[in-house]
Amino acid sequence: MGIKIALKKMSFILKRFVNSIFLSFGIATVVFFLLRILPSASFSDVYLNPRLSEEAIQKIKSAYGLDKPVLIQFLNWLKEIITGNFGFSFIYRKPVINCIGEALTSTLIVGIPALIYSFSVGIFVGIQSAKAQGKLLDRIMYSSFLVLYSIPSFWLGIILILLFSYTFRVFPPSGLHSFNFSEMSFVGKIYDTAIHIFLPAFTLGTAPMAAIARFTRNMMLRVLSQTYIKTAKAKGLDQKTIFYKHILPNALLPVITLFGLYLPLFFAGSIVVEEIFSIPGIGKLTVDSIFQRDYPLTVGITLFVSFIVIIGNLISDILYSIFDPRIRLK
Amino acid sequence: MKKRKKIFLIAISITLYLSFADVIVPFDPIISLDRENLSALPPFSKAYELRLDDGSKIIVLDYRIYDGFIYYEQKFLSGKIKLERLKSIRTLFFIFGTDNLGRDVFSRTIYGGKFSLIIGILSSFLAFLIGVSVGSVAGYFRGIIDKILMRATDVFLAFPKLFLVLVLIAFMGTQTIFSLIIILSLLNWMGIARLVRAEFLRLKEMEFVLAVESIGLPRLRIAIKHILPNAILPALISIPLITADIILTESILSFLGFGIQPPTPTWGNMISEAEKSLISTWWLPIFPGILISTTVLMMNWISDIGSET
Repeated sequence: MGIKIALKKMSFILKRFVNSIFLSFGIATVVFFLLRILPSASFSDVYLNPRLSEEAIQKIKSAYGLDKPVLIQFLNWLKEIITGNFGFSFIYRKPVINCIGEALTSTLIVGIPALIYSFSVGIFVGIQSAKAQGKLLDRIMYSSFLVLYSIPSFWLGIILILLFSYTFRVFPPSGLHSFNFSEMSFVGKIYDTAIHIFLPAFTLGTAPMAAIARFTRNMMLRVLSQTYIKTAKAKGLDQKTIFYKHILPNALLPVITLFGLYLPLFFAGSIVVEEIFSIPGIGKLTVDSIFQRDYPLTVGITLFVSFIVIIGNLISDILYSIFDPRIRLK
Repeated sequence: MKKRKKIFLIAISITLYLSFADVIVPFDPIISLDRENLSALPPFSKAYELRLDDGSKIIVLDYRIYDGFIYYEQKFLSGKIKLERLKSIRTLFFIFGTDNLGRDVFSRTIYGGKFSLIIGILSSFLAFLIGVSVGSVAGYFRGIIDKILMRATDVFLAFPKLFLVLVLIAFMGTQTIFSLIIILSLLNWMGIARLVRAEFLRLKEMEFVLAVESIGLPRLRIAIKHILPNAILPALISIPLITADIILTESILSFLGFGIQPPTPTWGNMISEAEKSLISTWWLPIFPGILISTTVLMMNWISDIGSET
């Protein structure tokens, strides 16, 4: 019996995996043809000097494979992407994948603490709010979730800079390191990074935190109204056992899946947060590449983040199938 | 019933605001009255406009009438004028202060909100229309059409929205309110399509559909007249949520410099301009931000009420 279920789960995960590969393919297709359709995306508009001779234009086009039929171009492009070649950045004079790799470190330094903050605080506060259901505390908490969720992160970031960097001078307003970072001791480096990422991570994580708290609270309340909780109470189990053994696991199960769904949110949020706090991450790279019309880089980042979204969805599917025995495995 | 009244009230106040935003602004939101004297005044500042008998106006920060003369002070100058030349004095009150170009922040905030709201509401309705069409077609025909449409929905959902918006806007070249509305609606219909399709599939199995089928009504008529009105109900609730999301996205776009361009104010580009002089003019980002938050909060709140009823 156990093996059968395990096999079923394996095939479910495999199916989702194959599905994700098709999705990635679909996304690559859409991106490619979008670039052909939209004006000002092609080479000829933006990059070619109008005084170039017809011959030179042909040379450039054949160098980039633009003289071939669109379908052949598409297949070539797909082949390059599968082998991990996202093209060559015009501005940075480096392969796109290297640019993304360098920026990813900075994004993760801010993103991972933000992720931890939003999930740990969100789940904790959500549980507290559900525990106080119907009381004034719950109402206050619930409304503050709504408010926090509605505040745009760029504004929150600016207000935090105004308060904590310019007025109280507690946290630095921008960057990831101080100027004398290389001379610091190991502990000093950690401290320096910590005070630099505090404000950006807080800005990035607050709206997801509120959403997670709200979701956790609603899930808790849903579980609390179930009959099996009544049964557990009727059986005479003590509050602690009911809470930790019956309520919590059932309520937190859907919250786990949010992890996969919220992963891309942190990349999207990084666009704004990195712009405000001048952090050289994926978000800033995106905005810069768009302003500088570095279109291989823009396309590379879009594909990269799309793949992360797909991987995030896959992770949440897998987590759900592992933790929830009731899931329909079709 | 009471809750419906609340939603109705909000809808009416939004309409009133949209139609009268241009009229109720006390000052010109785009052109400054006096760039030199009125620049960067903090909130609750006063200034005075002295009208003289030859028709000219002087904007002063303070004045005093003494001994047949009116002594005035400007930012860099001071002077006096004979009292008989003075025709009238108008007090200018800047409740939210002024920006670095001497424009009234209150007027700009009121005027700029119009664009955010119009874009949010119109594109969410457009997204609703697209979503309902896709969802009901998929739910009605099922089979291969359903599969293709739902795969397309999945692909659109897998795109990180903000990145795709940025790419589209970058490669579209010029952006107007119209193109912004199109782009934002094209990126927000997927949730509604899924909802409507699921409802369609569920309702098709219901008994009242069976009943009208047994009367012998044509299938298309059943789908449009009997299933569709019921299927769009849960999707209707998500309109305010989508509006909130689009208003946030639009403000982010304006903030990054991809949305509506200055001098036309929007909440997003006002905050973006304010960020450049945060230390000297701290009050500039505060009011647009509060208004974005309030608007988004209102929308979230409406959908909260809607999902309860």
